[in-house]
Amino acid sequence: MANTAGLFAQHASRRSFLTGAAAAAGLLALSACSTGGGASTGTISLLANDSADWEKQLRDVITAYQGQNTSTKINLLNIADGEQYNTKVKTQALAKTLPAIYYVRTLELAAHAESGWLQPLDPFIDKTKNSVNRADFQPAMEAQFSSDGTLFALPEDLSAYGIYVNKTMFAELGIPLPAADWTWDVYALSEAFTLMEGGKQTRWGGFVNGSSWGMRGVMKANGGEIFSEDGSKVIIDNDANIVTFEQINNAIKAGAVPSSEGLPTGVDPFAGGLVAMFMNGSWYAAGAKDAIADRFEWDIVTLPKGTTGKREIATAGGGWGMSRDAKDADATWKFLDYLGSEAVQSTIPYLQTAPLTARTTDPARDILFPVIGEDAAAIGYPPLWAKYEIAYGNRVATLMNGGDPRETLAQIQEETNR
Amino acid sequence: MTAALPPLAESVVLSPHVAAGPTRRGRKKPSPHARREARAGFLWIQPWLIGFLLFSAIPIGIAIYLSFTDWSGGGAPVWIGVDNYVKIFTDDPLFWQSLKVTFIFVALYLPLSLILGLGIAMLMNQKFVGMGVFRTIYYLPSVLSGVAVTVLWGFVFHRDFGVINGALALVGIEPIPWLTSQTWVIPAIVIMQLWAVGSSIIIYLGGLQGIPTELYEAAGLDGAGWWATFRAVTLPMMSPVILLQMILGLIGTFQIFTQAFVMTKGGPDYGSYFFSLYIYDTAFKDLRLGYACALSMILFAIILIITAIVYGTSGKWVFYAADRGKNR
Repeated sequence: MANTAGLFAQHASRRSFLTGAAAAAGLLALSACSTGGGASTGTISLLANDSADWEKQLRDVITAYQGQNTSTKINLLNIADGEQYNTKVKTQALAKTLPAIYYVRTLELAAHAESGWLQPLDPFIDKTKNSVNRADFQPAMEAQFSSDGTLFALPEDLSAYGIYVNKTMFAELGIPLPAADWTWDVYALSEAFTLMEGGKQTRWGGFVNGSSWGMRGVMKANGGEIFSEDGSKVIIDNDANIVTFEQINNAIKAGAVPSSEGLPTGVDPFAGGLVAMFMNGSWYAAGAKDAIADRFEWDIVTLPKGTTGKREIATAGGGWGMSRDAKDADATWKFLDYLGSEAVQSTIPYLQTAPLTARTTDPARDILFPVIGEDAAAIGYPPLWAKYEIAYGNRVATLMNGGDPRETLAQIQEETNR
Repeated sequence: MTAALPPLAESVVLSPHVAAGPTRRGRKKPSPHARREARAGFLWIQPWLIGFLLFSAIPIGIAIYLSFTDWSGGGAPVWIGVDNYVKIFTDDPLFWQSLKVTFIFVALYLPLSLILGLGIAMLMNQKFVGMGVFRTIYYLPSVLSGVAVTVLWGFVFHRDFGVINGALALVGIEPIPWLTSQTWVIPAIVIMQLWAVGSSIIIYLGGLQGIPTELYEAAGLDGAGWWATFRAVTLPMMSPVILLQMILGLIGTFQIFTQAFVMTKGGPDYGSYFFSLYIYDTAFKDLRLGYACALSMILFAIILIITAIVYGTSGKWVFYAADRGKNR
């Protein structure tokens, strides 16, 4: 048996070690030579963040496109999990190997544009006949898919908040369903639904979703802004926003609205019959349909009006952006333009078919979206959004749990602007 | 020293392959066979070497460089010298908050996990029917997904509907806002982590079973009680394992992330905003990658210094039976 200890003690010289390390580095360099943005001419890489049913629709569209353009191959990679998808996009961006087309969330679109990860689409639109017409966009869509007036992605989907209403509960208590012009006062003062069992509250009137972007619309409906006009500063610490959160706090104290820790964990409060009115996104409808089945009657209504007389419904979603790393920009745009064409829109609802686009698989689409086009807040998400979301996310439990909004909003503002 | 070794030992260290002939600086020239073996050795360690370069050495080198830059992921990093470090120490309350939270967690969790791990391992070291079942039960939490476990504990800690507060209510204790109070959120995460102490129990158990039984027999003959036996036999003999657990625990605990990321997102009011979570948010949400790299370097330095202190002082409290034998 060879004496390996002696062998390495005597012969693992600096030169041989460096030779080995250099060989490894060489192999490493070769392995790192990933092209991104499409491996060869005629190949377009596409990174999507879709559920399985939506992926199938997208694959059908790709197959149809490749049938018409035989020299082009679309390589689709779909990552359904949102967190994994975000990590993938960011690591690819940092490695300068972004796919030619990738799904970009509107919450991050401006930040990606500012970092130079996305190419402006207007020059491509201008030189293409019968292409996307930005004049068709609703103001909310225009605000979310552009940054500083430049379009950076073609809309794929948008979600919006609405109120899910337990009609059976309303009927049993003889309370009239929300009228078309209802306000947040009505929502907040829904104490009639309160139920106490065994010393614990087990039913509430309405649930206020503390989501960062959902609450932005609620604040705006009451005249409160979060960002300065140019989006460079957070100005959330203002009287209108303080009043909004004081109103929520009052409703929590009255038992009309559950606090952030009031509801049992792991239970769907609406499907479980714990709340009569449930503020949630349009995406919730599909799951609710299965979870509720025929246990009670329910409907979706638009958000109440704020003190400004407007609803200012917040929306967020995502669209297809052309990356900085796209190898063949013209071929990439050709496919992007195809995604926005009428033929495709008959299968996949894009920009022009509804006031706000929503996926065909979304049951809320026909109920909620046709009526909210004009009510959607025309607000985009500035690059500062990510930092604001961190600060807000850390303070929201206090805000929705009876904490002093004056103090908390000032903290969020200071932490974001720091 | 080779020269002081007896002839047999010398022949083992300097094999005929190695001692083939003179070379520069008086070293022996390797034989062709030895060179072939060396080449083969390097070839076989290439997968590890590539992995080390790809996943450790190069990223660490790049991170050190980036920590001196301002980089958001777009364009080239801009060299700013030590500005990131200056800002971290002089103008970043979140740095101090996340550091404070992390240190509190380490100070609470690490000693408890060491004591609890050793204590349960000693109980597990008894011989009676069904012990295998108990060992499996205690180890099970260690093989469960961190995210799933965290979600589960979210239910357990619920203020109004959680099991813990339900049990406390039976003895008249008011509900504790475990996850919504700055005061209670760290103790809650400590309790959750202690639940998964099973992996360290296995290592302790291995150590306990390696203690020669004659030591216990001798202690028994000397009339030592349970406590004296523990202090004079078990603790010294287990001290190398405790050192290992302490160092592994220090490294792992300072990097705690998943629990806060899934359960609290660092809240409420940054009450569970661990250092790793701050680094993650800075890098992957706020896209301040240079700054995040500087934060990472500081975390690395903290872990390195504390580990070095623990290791450096271990000579005073760790007992190595083999060393003692040598000194005789």
